[in-house]
Amino acid sequence: MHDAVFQGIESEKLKAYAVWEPILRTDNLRGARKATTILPDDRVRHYWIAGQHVGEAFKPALGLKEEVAWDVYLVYRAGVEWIGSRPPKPSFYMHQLHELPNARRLDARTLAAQVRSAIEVTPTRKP
Amino acid sequence: MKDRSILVGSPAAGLLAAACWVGPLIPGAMAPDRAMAMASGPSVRTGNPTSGLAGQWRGHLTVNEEDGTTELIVDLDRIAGRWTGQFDLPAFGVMDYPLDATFSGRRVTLVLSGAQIEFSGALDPATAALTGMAETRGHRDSLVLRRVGAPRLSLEFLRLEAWSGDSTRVEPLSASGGELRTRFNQDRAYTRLLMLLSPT
Repeated sequence: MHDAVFQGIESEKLKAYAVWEPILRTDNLRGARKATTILPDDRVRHYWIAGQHVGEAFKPALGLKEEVAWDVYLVYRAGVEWIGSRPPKPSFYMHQLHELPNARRLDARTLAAQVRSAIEVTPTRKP
Repeated sequence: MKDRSILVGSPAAGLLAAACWVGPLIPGAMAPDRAMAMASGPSVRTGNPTSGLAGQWRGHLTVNEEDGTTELIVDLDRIAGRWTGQFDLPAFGVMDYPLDATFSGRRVTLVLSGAQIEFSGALDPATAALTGMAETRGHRDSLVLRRVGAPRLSLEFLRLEAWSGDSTRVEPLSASGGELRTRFNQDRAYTRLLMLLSPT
């Protein structure tokens, strides 16, 4: 995924957030710090949350009813804002959960293509 | 909770070409995590084999009633003030997977997440043995691990352990996640990719 998305897309119009959350019993802040090494790109900001609050908050945006949102990848086009406590719906997402459609199961090349497509419609920032 | 085997193909697995997987032989075991496969490679001797848990420990783990036992090798040492280590299941091609260790008094708990094995037992300094019960996906059986020498931990594992103490690598979020929302909105002029992930 890192290779396809971050090495494959050099654009500075992309920002990324990796939110590490405790899913397995052994997940913790120290593990999150280690895990940052799989996404060694300056455009990625890494966060740790000591609970599943963010994963719960994103369930409606993904249409999840049972599973907490994790191992999910959400693409937002420029201009989308997060208003209030409920995160906005992504323009595209991929996942590795049971509850969501198989057609959206994570495929790094598809994800990269969607990110690239979103970037292409991003207006150039004025200085 | 989802079947961990679907972690194959995750961003981690994509990066980890060398990943070997316990799954086919130990049903339900998970794919190697991000740290796991990255932590393999050249190893070094560390620590003092007679100090606390430090050492290389070997025993025979009962996989299940049909498949009998398999050799388990555990390397434990105290790194940066905490017990940690790696394990091997040679028969499954598993080498240098990380584990979580707790040691209090003589009580020892080892969590081998990559193979869904949990050991709970006690250290007997007189015999240099860890004796207790191991559970693998509901199958519980006794396990004795005997210290055979000094621990050997991979250089990559030790490097990751050092990073795990680096507070600049990850920004903690409050329960509301408000900092994430603020950042997301500050970056509204950009395309954004948001990933919710488990460290393991």
